Amino acid sequence: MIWMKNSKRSIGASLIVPILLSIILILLIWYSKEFEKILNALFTSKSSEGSRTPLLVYFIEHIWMVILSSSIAIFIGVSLGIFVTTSYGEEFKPLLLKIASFGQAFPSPALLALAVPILGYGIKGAIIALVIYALMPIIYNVVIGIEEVPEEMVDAARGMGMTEFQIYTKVKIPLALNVILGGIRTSLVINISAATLTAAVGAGGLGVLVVNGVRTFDMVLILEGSIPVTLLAIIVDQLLRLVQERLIWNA
Amino acid sequence: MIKLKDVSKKYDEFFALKNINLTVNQSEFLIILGPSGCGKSTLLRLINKMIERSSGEITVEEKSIDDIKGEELRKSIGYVIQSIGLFPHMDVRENISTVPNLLKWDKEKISSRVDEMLELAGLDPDKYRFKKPSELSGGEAQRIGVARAMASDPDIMLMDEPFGAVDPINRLRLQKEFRKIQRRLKKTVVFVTHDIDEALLLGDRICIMNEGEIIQIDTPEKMILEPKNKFVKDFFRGEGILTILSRKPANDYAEDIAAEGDALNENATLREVLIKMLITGKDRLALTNGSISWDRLLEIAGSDMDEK
Repeated sequence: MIWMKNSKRSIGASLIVPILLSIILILLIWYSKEFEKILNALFTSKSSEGSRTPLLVYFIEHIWMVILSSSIAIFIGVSLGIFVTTSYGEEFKPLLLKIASFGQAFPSPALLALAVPILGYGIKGAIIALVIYALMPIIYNVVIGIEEVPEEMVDAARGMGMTEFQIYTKVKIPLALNVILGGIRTSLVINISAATLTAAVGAGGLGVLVVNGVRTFDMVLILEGSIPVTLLAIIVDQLLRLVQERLIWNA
Repeated sequence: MIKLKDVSKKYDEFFALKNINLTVNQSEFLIILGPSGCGKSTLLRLINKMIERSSGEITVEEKSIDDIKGEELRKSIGYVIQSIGLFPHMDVRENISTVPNLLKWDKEKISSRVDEMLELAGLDPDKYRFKKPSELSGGEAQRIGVARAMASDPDIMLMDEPFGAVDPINRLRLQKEFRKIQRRLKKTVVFVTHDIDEALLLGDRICIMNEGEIIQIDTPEKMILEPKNKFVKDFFRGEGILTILSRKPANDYAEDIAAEGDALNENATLREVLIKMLITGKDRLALTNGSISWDRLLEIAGSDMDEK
Protein backbone atom coordinates (compact mmCIF):
# COMPACT_ATOMS: atom_id res chain seq x y z
CA MET A 1 0.00 0.00 0.00
CA ILE A 2 1.29 3.38 -1.03
CA TRP A 3 0.89 5.13 2.31
CA MET A 4 2.81 2.44 4.17
CA LYS A 5 6.06 3.35 2.49
CA ASN A 6 8.34 5.23 4.76
CA SER A 7 11.00 7.38 3.22
CA LYS A 8 11.17 10.41 5.42
CA ARG A 9 14.08 12.76 5.17
CA SER A 10 14.14 15.95 7.17
CA ILE A 11 12.39 18.73 5.31
CA GLY A 12 15.51 20.93 5.42
CA ALA A 13 17.70 18.37 3.68
CA SER A 14 15.12 17.76 0.96
CA LEU A 15 14.83 21.47 0.27
CA ILE A 16 18.54 22.01 -0.41
CA VAL A 17 18.51 20.90 -4.06
CA PRO A 18 15.42 22.88 -5.15
CA ILE A 19 16.68 25.97 -3.32
CA LEU A 20 20.11 25.77 -4.94
CA LEU A 21 18.58 25.27 -8.38
CA SER A 22 16.21 28.20 -7.82
CA ILE A 23 19.14 30.44 -6.91
CA ILE A 24 20.95 29.39 -10.09
CA LEU A 25 17.81 30.02 -12.14
CA ILE A 26 17.32 33.50 -10.66
CA LEU A 27 20.96 34.39 -11.24
CA LEU A 28 20.77 33.21 -14.86
CA ILE A 29 17.75 35.35 -15.55
CA TRP A 30 18.96 38.38 -13.61
CA TYR A 31 22.41 38.34 -15.17
CA SER A 32 21.25 37.16 -18.59
CA LYS A 33 23.82 39.24 -20.47
CA GLU A 34 26.66 37.60 -18.52
CA PHE A 35 25.00 34.21 -19.02
CA GLU A 36 25.02 34.89 -22.78
CA LYS A 37 28.67 35.83 -22.66
CA ILE A 38 29.61 32.59 -20.95
CA LEU A 39 27.65 30.60 -23.49
CA ASN A 40 29.28 32.60 -26.30
CA ALA A 41 32.68 31.81 -24.93
CA LEU A 42 31.87 28.11 -24.84
CA PHE A 43 30.21 27.85 -28.27
CA THR A 44 31.98 30.23 -30.60
CA SER A 45 30.97 28.43 -33.78
CA LYS A 46 29.08 31.50 -34.90
CA SER A 47 28.83 34.98 -33.53
CA SER A 48 25.54 35.06 -31.78
CA GLU A 49 23.61 38.23 -31.25
CA GLY A 50 21.92 36.62 -28.29
CA SER A 51 18.44 37.51 -27.33
CA ARG A 52 17.22 41.02 -27.96
CA THR A 53 14.30 40.79 -25.58
CA PRO A 54 15.32 40.31 -21.94
CA LEU A 55 15.30 36.72 -20.75
CA LEU A 56 13.00 37.75 -17.90
CA VAL A 57 10.20 38.63 -20.33
CA TYR A 58 10.34 35.23 -22.00
CA PHE A 59 10.56 33.55 -18.63
CA ILE A 60 7.45 35.30 -17.33
CA GLU A 61 5.56 34.49 -20.54
CA HIS A 62 6.60 30.89 -20.18
CA ILE A 63 5.54 30.59 -16.55
CA TRP A 64 2.27 32.35 -17.29
CA MET A 65 1.47 29.82 -20.04
CA VAL A 66 2.33 26.91 -17.78
CA ILE A 67 0.29 28.23 -14.85
CA LEU A 68 -2.72 29.00 -17.03
CA SER A 69 -2.75 25.72 -18.95
CA SER A 70 -1.92 23.58 -15.90
CA SER A 71 -4.61 25.17 -13.75
CA ILE A 72 -7.18 24.52 -16.43
CA ALA A 73 -5.88 20.98 -16.91
CA ILE A 74 -5.89 20.27 -13.16
CA PHE A 75 -9.40 21.62 -12.79
CA ILE A 76 -10.80 19.68 -15.75
CA GLY A 77 -8.71 16.57 -15.09
CA VAL A 78 -9.55 16.26 -11.41
CA SER A 79 -13.26 16.94 -11.96
CA LEU A 80 -13.56 14.53 -14.88
CA GLY A 81 -11.44 11.90 -13.13
CA ILE A 82 -13.56 12.03 -9.99
CA PHE A 83 -16.76 12.09 -12.03
CA VAL A 84 -16.00 8.85 -13.87
CA THR A 85 -15.28 7.02 -10.60
CA THR A 86 -18.77 7.82 -9.29
CA SER A 87 -21.78 5.69 -10.09
CA TYR A 88 -23.09 8.52 -12.28
CA GLY A 89 -20.02 8.72 -14.49
CA GLU A 90 -18.92 5.11 -14.53
CA GLU A 91 -20.07 4.45 -18.07
CA PHE A 92 -17.97 7.32 -19.44
CA LYS A 93 -14.76 6.00 -17.92
CA PRO A 94 -13.46 3.88 -20.84
CA LEU A 95 -14.31 6.66 -23.31
CA LEU A 96 -12.60 9.33 -21.22
CA LEU A 97 -9.44 7.27 -20.72
CA LYS A 98 -9.34 6.54 -24.44
CA ILE A 99 -9.69 10.21 -25.39
CA ALA A 100 -7.10 11.25 -22.82
CA SER A 101 -4.53 8.72 -23.99
CA PHE A 102 -5.22 9.71 -27.59
CA GLY A 103 -4.52 13.34 -26.72
CA GLN A 104 -1.30 12.24 -25.09
CA ALA A 105 -0.19 10.00 -27.96
CA PHE A 106 -0.86 12.60 -30.63
CA PRO A 107 2.46 14.34 -31.49
CA SER A 108 2.49 17.67 -29.67
CA PRO A 109 3.85 19.79 -32.56
CA ALA A 110 1.06 18.45 -34.74
CA LEU A 111 -1.49 19.20 -32.04
CA LEU A 112 -0.22 22.78 -31.96
CA ALA A 113 -0.21 23.09 -35.70
CA LEU A 114 -3.82 21.90 -35.81
CA ALA A 115 -4.82 24.42 -33.17
CA VAL A 116 -3.64 27.33 -35.36
CA PRO A 117 -6.25 27.12 -38.17
CA ILE A 118 -9.00 26.63 -35.60
CA LEU A 119 -8.03 29.12 -32.92
CA GLY A 120 -5.64 31.35 -34.77
CA TYR A 121 -2.01 32.23 -34.28
CA GLY A 122 -0.95 33.02 -30.70
CA ILE A 123 -1.48 32.10 -27.12
CA LYS A 124 -5.10 30.83 -27.28
CA GLY A 125 -4.33 27.85 -29.46
CA ALA A 126 -1.16 27.17 -27.52
CA ILE A 127 -2.97 27.07 -24.19
CA ILE A 128 -5.62 24.69 -25.49
CA ALA A 129 -3.04 22.36 -26.97
CA LEU A 130 -1.10 22.38 -23.69
CA VAL A 131 -4.24 21.66 -21.68
CA ILE A 132 -5.10 18.65 -23.83
CA TYR A 133 -1.55 17.44 -23.52
CA ALA A 134 -1.46 17.87 -19.73
CA LEU A 135 -4.81 16.19 -19.07
CA MET A 136 -3.89 12.55 -19.50
CA PRO A 137 -1.57 12.00 -16.51
CA ILE A 138 -3.97 13.89 -14.25
CA ILE A 139 -7.11 12.04 -15.29
CA TYR A 140 -5.31 8.72 -15.24
CA ASN A 141 -3.89 9.17 -11.75
CA VAL A 142 -7.14 10.52 -10.30
CA VAL A 143 -8.99 7.45 -11.57
CA ILE A 144 -6.32 4.98 -10.42
CA GLY A 145 -5.83 6.73 -7.08
CA ILE A 146 -9.50 6.66 -6.21
CA GLU A 147 -10.04 3.13 -7.44
CA GLU A 148 -7.06 1.92 -5.41
CA VAL A 149 -8.62 3.02 -2.12
CA PRO A 150 -9.25 -0.33 -0.40
CA GLU A 151 -12.82 -1.54 -0.55
CA GLU A 152 -12.88 -2.12 3.22
CA MET A 153 -12.23 1.58 3.93
CA VAL A 154 -15.15 2.53 1.74
CA ASP A 155 -17.26 -0.18 3.35
CA ALA A 156 -16.38 1.07 6.84
CA ALA A 157 -17.10 4.67 5.84
CA ARG A 158 -20.46 3.79 4.34
CA GLY A 159 -21.28 1.54 7.30
CA MET A 160 -20.77 4.43 9.68
CA GLY A 161 -23.28 6.52 7.81
CA MET A 162 -21.22 8.72 5.52
CA THR A 163 -23.00 10.01 2.43
CA GLU A 164 -21.44 9.36 -0.99
CA PHE A 165 -20.17 12.94 -0.95
CA GLN A 166 -18.61 12.54 2.51
CA ILE A 167 -17.00 9.26 1.44
CA TYR A 168 -15.25 11.24 -1.30
CA THR A 169 -14.22 14.23 0.77
CA LYS A 170 -13.25 12.39 3.96
CA VAL A 171 -11.91 9.07 2.69
CA LYS A 172 -11.43 8.54 -1.04
CA ILE A 173 -9.82 11.84 -2.03
CA PRO A 174 -7.54 12.15 1.03
CA LEU A 175 -6.35 8.58 0.48
CA ALA A 176 -5.88 9.13 -3.27
CA LEU A 177 -4.21 12.52 -2.85
CA ASN A 178 -0.71 11.14 -3.06
CA VAL A 179 -1.38 9.41 -6.38
CA ILE A 180 -3.30 12.42 -7.70
CA LEU A 181 -0.39 14.72 -6.85
CA GLY A 182 1.91 12.30 -8.66
CA GLY A 183 -0.20 12.84 -11.78
CA ILE A 184 -0.15 16.58 -11.37
CA ARG A 185 3.62 16.50 -10.97
CA THR A 186 4.13 14.50 -14.16
CA SER A 187 1.72 16.75 -16.00
CA LEU A 188 3.45 19.95 -14.85
CA VAL A 189 6.90 18.70 -15.85
CA ILE A 190 5.61 17.70 -19.29
CA ASN A 191 3.84 21.02 -19.58
CA ILE A 192 6.87 23.13 -18.69
CA SER A 193 8.89 21.52 -21.43
CA ALA A 194 6.02 21.24 -23.94
CA ALA A 195 5.36 24.98 -23.56
CA THR A 196 8.67 25.49 -25.40
CA LEU A 197 7.04 24.25 -28.59
CA THR A 198 4.30 26.85 -28.49
CA ALA A 199 6.78 29.46 -29.71
CA ALA A 200 6.27 27.89 -33.13
CA VAL A 201 2.72 29.20 -33.19
CA GLY A 202 3.69 32.60 -31.89
CA ALA A 203 2.78 32.14 -28.24
CA GLY A 204 6.06 33.42 -26.84
CA GLY A 205 7.90 32.03 -23.85
CA LEU A 206 11.40 30.62 -23.57
CA GLY A 207 10.60 28.51 -26.62
CA VAL A 208 11.11 31.60 -28.81
CA LEU A 209 14.85 31.39 -28.09
CA VAL A 210 14.96 27.65 -28.73
CA VAL A 211 12.93 27.81 -31.96
CA ASN A 212 15.00 30.72 -33.30
CA GLY A 213 18.16 28.98 -32.23
CA VAL A 214 17.20 25.82 -34.08
CA ARG A 215 16.38 27.81 -37.23
CA THR A 216 19.73 29.58 -37.25
CA PHE A 217 21.82 26.76 -35.77
CA ASP A 218 22.65 29.05 -32.88
CA MET A 219 23.72 26.92 -29.92
CA VAL A 220 23.83 29.93 -27.62
CA LEU A 221 20.19 30.78 -28.24
CA ILE A 222 19.10 27.15 -27.88
CA LEU A 223 20.86 26.79 -24.54
CA GLU A 224 19.78 30.19 -23.32
CA GLY A 225 16.20 29.05 -23.73
CA SER A 226 16.44 25.43 -22.73
CA ILE A 227 18.61 25.66 -19.59
CA PRO A 228 16.04 27.76 -17.68
CA VAL A 229 13.25 25.45 -18.92
CA THR A 230 15.10 22.42 -17.63
CA LEU A 231 15.90 24.05 -14.29
CA LEU A 232 12.29 25.14 -13.86
CA ALA A 233 11.03 21.63 -14.60
CA ILE A 234 13.42 20.04 -12.10
CA ILE A 235 12.59 22.56 -9.36
CA VAL A 236 8.83 22.07 -9.77
CA ASP A 237 9.28 18.30 -9.85
CA GLN A 238 11.34 18.27 -6.66
CA LEU A 239 9.04 20.59 -4.75
CA LEU A 240 5.94 18.57 -5.62
CA ARG A 241 7.76 15.37 -4.76
CA LEU A 242 8.41 16.88 -1.36
CA VAL A 243 4.73 17.70 -0.87
CA GLN A 244 3.90 14.14 -1.89
CA GLU A 245 6.34 12.67 0.61
CA ARG A 246 4.78 14.74 3.38
CA LEU A 247 1.47 13.18 2.47
CA ILE A 248 2.48 9.58 3.05
CA TRP A 249 0.20 8.48 5.85
CA ASN A 250 2.80 7.36 8.31
CA ALA A 251 3.38 9.77 11.13
CA MET B 1 -35.07 -4.63 18.77
CA ILE B 2 -34.67 -5.82 15.21
CA LYS B 3 -37.33 -7.76 13.35
CA LEU B 4 -37.04 -9.46 9.98
CA LYS B 5 -40.19 -10.83 8.42
CA ASP B 6 -40.12 -13.04 5.31
CA VAL B 7 -36.98 -11.30 4.11
CA SER B 8 -35.40 -12.51 0.87
CA LYS B 9 -32.50 -11.30 -1.18
CA LYS B 10 -32.26 -12.39 -4.79
CA TYR B 11 -29.39 -11.88 -7.21
CA ASP B 12 -30.90 -12.58 -10.63
CA GLU B 13 -32.33 -16.07 -10.14
CA PHE B 14 -30.14 -16.95 -7.16
CA PHE B 15 -31.55 -16.62 -3.64
CA ALA B 16 -28.80 -15.31 -1.35
CA LEU B 17 -31.38 -15.27 1.46
CA LYS B 18 -34.68 -17.05 1.50
CA ASN B 19 -37.67 -16.22 3.74
CA ILE B 20 -35.72 -15.10 6.76
CA ASN B 21 -37.76 -14.62 9.91
CA LEU B 22 -35.75 -13.40 12.85
CA THR B 23 -36.25 -11.27 15.94
CA VAL B 24 -33.32 -9.86 17.84
CA ASN B 25 -34.41 -8.83 21.32
CA GLN B 26 -33.36 -5.74 23.24
CA SER B 27 -29.87 -6.19 24.79
CA GLU B 28 -29.49 -9.60 23.21
CA PHE B 29 -26.22 -10.95 21.86
CA LEU B 30 -27.29 -12.85 18.76
CA ILE B 31 -24.77 -14.86 16.81
CA ILE B 32 -25.31 -15.62 13.15
CA LEU B 33 -23.29 -18.74 12.48
CA GLY B 34 -22.76 -20.67 9.28
CA PRO B 35 -20.28 -21.81 6.65
CA SER B 36 -18.91 -19.21 4.24
CA GLY B 37 -21.33 -18.28 1.51
CA CYS B 38 -24.41 -19.10 3.62
CA GLY B 39 -25.63 -15.52 3.41
CA LYS B 40 -24.81 -14.45 6.96
CA SER B 41 -22.96 -11.26 5.97
CA THR B 42 -25.69 -10.41 3.49
CA LEU B 43 -28.25 -10.75 6.27
CA LEU B 44 -26.26 -8.36 8.46
CA ARG B 45 -25.90 -5.81 5.69
CA LEU B 46 -29.61 -5.85 4.93
CA ILE B 47 -30.30 -4.57 8.44
CA ASN B 48 -28.36 -1.31 8.00
CA LYS B 49 -29.34 -0.97 4.34
CA MET B 50 -25.84 -1.50 3.01
CA ILE B 51 -27.70 -3.88 0.68
CA GLU B 52 -31.34 -3.49 -0.34
CA ARG B 53 -33.53 -6.52 0.26
CA SER B 54 -35.66 -7.99 -2.53
CA SER B 55 -38.75 -8.64 -0.41
CA GLY B 56 -40.02 -8.81 3.16
CA GLU B 57 -40.09 -6.37 6.04
CA ILE B 58 -37.33 -5.18 8.34
CA THR B 59 -37.98 -3.03 11.38
CA VAL B 60 -35.42 -1.51 13.74
CA GLU B 61 -36.78 -0.26 17.08
CA GLU B 62 -40.33 -0.68 15.77
CA LYS B 63 -39.66 1.51 12.71
CA SER B 64 -39.58 0.17 9.17
CA ILE B 65 -36.12 0.78 7.72
CA ASP B 66 -37.84 2.00 4.55
CA ASP B 67 -38.87 5.12 6.48
CA ILE B 68 -35.30 5.96 7.47
CA LYS B 69 -32.62 7.28 5.12
CA GLY B 70 -29.73 4.82 4.74
CA GLU B 71 -27.13 7.23 6.13
CA GLU B 72 -29.30 8.18 9.10
CA LEU B 73 -29.97 4.53 9.90
CA ARG B 74 -26.28 3.65 9.68
CA LYS B 75 -25.26 6.57 11.89
CA SER B 76 -27.49 5.14 14.61
CA ILE B 77 -26.12 1.59 14.36
CA GLY B 78 -22.57 0.55 15.22
CA TYR B 79 -20.82 -1.38 12.46
CA VAL B 80 -17.59 -3.39 12.69
CA ILE B 81 -16.07 -5.47 9.91
CA GLN B 82 -13.29 -8.03 9.92
CA SER B 83 -10.81 -5.83 8.10
CA ILE B 84 -11.65 -3.08 10.63
CA GLY B 85 -11.20 -0.38 8.00
CA LEU B 86 -9.48 2.15 10.26
CA PHE B 87 -8.68 5.19 8.11
CA PRO B 88 -4.88 5.28 7.67
CA HIS B 89 -4.78 9.03 7.10
CA MET B 90 -6.44 9.77 10.43
CA ASP B 91 -5.04 9.22 13.91
CA VAL B 92 -6.81 7.14 16.55
CA ARG B 93 -8.69 10.12 17.94
CA GLU B 94 -10.00 11.14 14.51
CA ASN B 95 -10.96 7.57 13.70
CA ILE B 96 -12.96 7.16 16.90
CA SER B 97 -14.70 10.49 16.43
CA THR B 98 -15.89 9.68 12.89
CA VAL B 99 -19.55 9.15 13.76
CA PRO B 100 -19.76 11.82 16.51
CA ASN B 101 -18.36 14.21 13.87
CA LEU B 102 -20.99 13.14 11.35
CA LEU B 103 -23.57 13.74 14.07
CA LYS B 104 -22.03 17.19 14.66
CA TRP B 105 -21.34 16.81 18.37
CA ASP B 106 -19.44 19.71 19.88
CA LYS B 107 -15.67 19.43 20.17
CA GLU B 108 -15.39 19.03 23.93
CA LYS B 109 -17.99 16.30 24.05
CA ILE B 110 -16.17 14.46 21.25
CA SER B 111 -12.77 14.71 22.88
CA SER B 112 -13.99 13.45 26.26
CA ARG B 113 -15.89 10.69 24.46
CA VAL B 114 -12.72 9.61 22.65
CA ASP B 115 -10.87 9.23 25.96
CA GLU B 116 -13.80 7.37 27.46
CA MET B 117 -13.88 4.94 24.51
CA LEU B 118 -10.12 4.36 24.67
CA GLU B 119 -10.39 3.52 28.36
CA LEU B 120 -13.31 1.22 27.64
CA ALA B 121 -11.12 -0.50 25.04
CA GLY B 122 -8.41 -0.92 27.67
CA LEU B 123 -5.98 1.50 26.01
CA ASP B 124 -4.31 4.45 27.71
CA PRO B 125 -5.73 7.61 26.05
CA ASP B 126 -2.54 9.60 26.52
CA LYS B 127 -0.52 6.92 24.80
CA TYR B 128 -2.88 6.12 21.94
CA ARG B 129 -4.81 9.30 21.12
CA PHE B 130 -2.44 10.53 18.43
CA LYS B 131 -1.17 7.23 17.08
CA LYS B 132 -1.72 6.38 13.43
CA PRO B 133 -3.32 3.03 12.52
CA SER B 134 -0.01 1.90 10.98
CA GLU B 135 1.56 2.05 14.46
CA LEU B 136 -0.98 -0.28 16.06
CA SER B 137 -0.83 -4.04 16.52
CA GLY B 138 -3.67 -6.16 15.13
CA GLY B 139 -5.29 -6.47 18.55
CA GLU B 140 -5.03 -2.74 19.27
CA ALA B 141 -6.45 -1.86 15.87
CA GLN B 142 -9.37 -4.20 16.47
CA ARG B 143 -10.07 -2.65 19.90
CA ILE B 144 -10.10 0.77 18.29
CA GLY B 145 -12.35 -0.50 15.51
CA VAL B 146 -14.87 -1.60 18.15
CA ALA B 147 -14.41 1.65 20.10
CA ARG B 148 -15.08 3.60 16.90
CA ALA B 149 -18.29 1.70 16.30
CA MET B 150 -19.45 2.40 19.85
CA ALA B 151 -18.38 6.05 19.98
CA SER B 152 -21.83 7.54 19.44
CA ASP B 153 -23.32 5.07 21.94
CA PRO B 154 -25.57 3.24 19.49
CA ASP B 155 -28.09 0.81 20.99
CA ILE B 156 -27.49 -1.68 18.23
CA MET B 157 -24.19 -3.06 16.95
CA LEU B 158 -23.69 -5.09 13.79
CA MET B 159 -20.44 -7.01 13.73
CA ASP B 160 -19.12 -9.03 10.81
CA GLU B 161 -16.40 -11.41 12.04
CA PRO B 162 -14.82 -8.56 13.99
CA PHE B 163 -12.17 -10.70 15.67
CA GLY B 164 -11.45 -12.92 12.68
CA ALA B 165 -8.10 -11.36 11.83
CA VAL B 166 -6.69 -11.34 15.37
CA ASP B 167 -4.33 -14.05 16.66
CA PRO B 168 -5.99 -16.73 18.85
CA ILE B 169 -4.68 -15.52 22.23
CA ASN B 170 -5.72 -11.93 21.66
CA ARG B 171 -8.96 -13.07 20.10
CA LEU B 172 -10.05 -14.87 23.26
CA ARG B 173 -9.18 -11.84 25.38
CA LEU B 174 -11.05 -9.50 23.05
CA GLN B 175 -14.07 -11.80 22.97
CA LYS B 176 -14.27 -11.94 26.75
CA GLU B 177 -13.78 -8.21 27.15
CA PHE B 178 -16.35 -7.39 24.54
CA ARG B 179 -18.87 -9.75 26.10
CA LYS B 180 -18.40 -7.98 29.43
CA ILE B 181 -18.83 -4.56 27.84
CA GLN B 182 -21.92 -5.70 25.97
CA ARG B 183 -23.52 -7.02 29.17
CA ARG B 184 -22.71 -3.87 31.10
CA LEU B 185 -23.90 -1.43 28.44
CA LYS B 186 -26.83 -3.65 27.41
CA LYS B 187 -26.15 -3.31 23.70
CA THR B 188 -28.15 -5.28 21.19
CA VAL B 189 -25.55 -7.12 19.12
CA VAL B 190 -25.86 -9.07 15.90
CA PHE B 191 -22.57 -10.86 15.43
CA VAL B 192 -21.61 -12.83 12.33
CA THR B 193 -19.02 -15.59 12.60
CA HIS B 194 -18.07 -18.97 11.23
CA ASP B 195 -16.13 -19.83 14.40
CA ILE B 196 -18.09 -22.28 16.53
CA ASP B 197 -16.15 -21.61 19.74
CA GLU B 198 -16.72 -17.91 19.33
CA ALA B 199 -20.43 -18.48 18.80
CA LEU B 200 -20.77 -20.68 21.88
CA LEU B 201 -18.70 -18.36 24.03
CA LEU B 202 -20.44 -15.10 23.15
CA GLY B 203 -23.98 -15.77 22.07
CA ASP B 204 -27.15 -15.50 24.13
CA ARG B 205 -28.72 -17.20 21.15
CA ILE B 206 -27.27 -18.63 17.99
CA CYS B 207 -28.90 -18.47 14.61
CA ILE B 208 -27.39 -21.15 12.42
CA MET B 209 -27.67 -20.69 8.66
CA ASN B 210 -26.99 -22.69 5.55
CA GLU B 211 -27.51 -21.84 1.89
CA GLY B 212 -29.45 -18.67 2.58
CA GLU B 213 -31.85 -20.19 5.08
CA ILE B 214 -32.08 -20.23 8.86
CA ILE B 215 -31.77 -23.81 10.13
CA GLN B 216 -32.18 -23.26 13.87
CA ILE B 217 -32.27 -20.40 16.36
CA ASP B 218 -31.59 -21.39 19.97
CA THR B 219 -29.42 -20.90 23.01
CA PRO B 220 -25.97 -22.50 22.73
CA GLU B 221 -26.91 -25.22 25.23
CA LYS B 222 -30.03 -26.23 23.35
CA MET B 223 -28.23 -26.05 20.05
CA ILE B 224 -25.77 -28.70 21.24
CA LEU B 225 -28.18 -30.85 23.18
CA GLU B 226 -31.08 -30.69 20.75
CA PRO B 227 -29.76 -30.13 17.25
CA LYS B 228 -32.64 -29.80 14.87
CA ASN B 229 -31.03 -31.86 12.12
CA LYS B 230 -27.83 -33.51 10.97
CA PHE B 231 -26.41 -30.25 9.62
CA VAL B 232 -26.54 -28.59 13.03
CA LYS B 233 -25.27 -31.74 14.75
CA ASP B 234 -22.34 -32.09 12.35
CA PHE B 235 -21.60 -28.41 12.68
CA PHE B 236 -21.04 -28.62 16.44
CA ARG B 237 -19.68 -32.18 16.60
CA GLY B 238 -18.51 -33.02 20.14
CA GLU B 239 -16.69 -29.82 21.03
CA GLY B 240 -19.70 -28.08 22.45
CA ILE B 241 -19.58 -29.40 25.99
CA LEU B 242 -16.16 -27.85 26.64
CA THR B 243 -17.35 -24.49 25.45
CA ILE B 244 -20.43 -24.75 27.63
CA LEU B 245 -18.11 -25.36 30.59
CA SER B 246 -16.09 -22.32 29.55
CA ARG B 247 -19.24 -20.19 29.86
CA LYS B 248 -19.68 -21.11 33.54
CA PRO B 249 -17.67 -19.32 36.27
CA ALA B 250 -16.20 -21.92 38.66
CA ASN B 251 -16.98 -19.79 41.73
CA ASP B 252 -20.72 -20.21 41.07
CA TYR B 253 -20.36 -23.95 41.73
CA ALA B 254 -17.97 -23.83 44.69
CA GLU B 255 -18.51 -26.21 47.60
CA ASP B 256 -17.83 -25.03 51.10
CA ILE B 257 -14.95 -27.43 51.62
CA ALA B 258 -11.34 -26.43 52.14
CA ALA B 259 -8.79 -27.82 49.69
CA GLU B 260 -5.00 -27.86 49.52
CA GLY B 261 -2.93 -25.86 47.06
CA ASP B 262 -3.25 -22.42 45.51
CA ALA B 263 -6.76 -21.23 44.73
CA LEU B 264 -7.69 -20.75 41.11
CA ASN B 265 -8.22 -17.21 39.87
CA GLU B 266 -11.67 -15.93 40.84
CA ASN B 267 -12.60 -15.49 37.16
CA ALA B 268 -11.70 -19.09 36.31
CA THR B 269 -14.29 -21.09 34.44
CA LEU B 270 -15.23 -24.73 34.77
CA ARG B 271 -13.24 -25.44 31.63
CA GLU B 272 -10.10 -24.23 33.35
CA VAL B 273 -10.98 -26.36 36.39
CA LEU B 274 -11.27 -29.40 34.15
CA ILE B 275 -7.98 -28.69 32.43
CA LYS B 276 -6.17 -28.13 35.75
CA MET B 277 -7.58 -31.40 37.07
CA LEU B 278 -6.46 -33.29 33.98
CA ILE B 279 -2.97 -31.81 34.21
CA THR B 280 -2.42 -32.15 37.97
CA GLY B 281 -4.37 -35.38 38.47
CA LYS B 282 -6.05 -33.89 41.57
CA ASP B 283 -9.73 -34.61 42.13
CA ARG B 284 -10.35 -31.46 44.18
CA LEU B 285 -9.17 -27.93 43.42
CA ALA B 286 -9.18 -24.87 45.67
CA LEU B 287 -11.19 -21.82 44.61
CA THR B 288 -11.22 -18.35 46.12
CA ASN B 289 -14.59 -19.10 47.75
CA GLY B 290 -14.20 -22.81 48.56
CA SER B 291 -13.30 -25.71 46.35
CA ILE B 292 -14.65 -27.92 43.59
CA SER B 293 -14.41 -31.67 43.07
CA TRP B 294 -14.21 -33.91 40.00
CA ASP B 295 -17.55 -35.50 40.89
CA ARG B 296 -19.17 -32.10 41.17
CA LEU B 297 -17.82 -31.20 37.72
CA LEU B 298 -19.24 -34.36 36.20
CA GLU B 299 -22.53 -33.62 37.89
CA ILE B 300 -22.69 -30.10 36.41
CA ALA B 301 -21.77 -31.28 32.92
CA GLY B 302 -24.24 -34.15 33.26
CA SER B 303 -27.06 -31.95 34.54
CA ASP B 304 -26.48 -29.75 31.56
CA MET B 305 -26.78 -32.72 29.28
CA ASP B 306 -29.92 -33.88 31.02
CA GLU B 307 -31.71 -30.52 31.03
CA LYS B 308 -34.78 -31.34 28.94
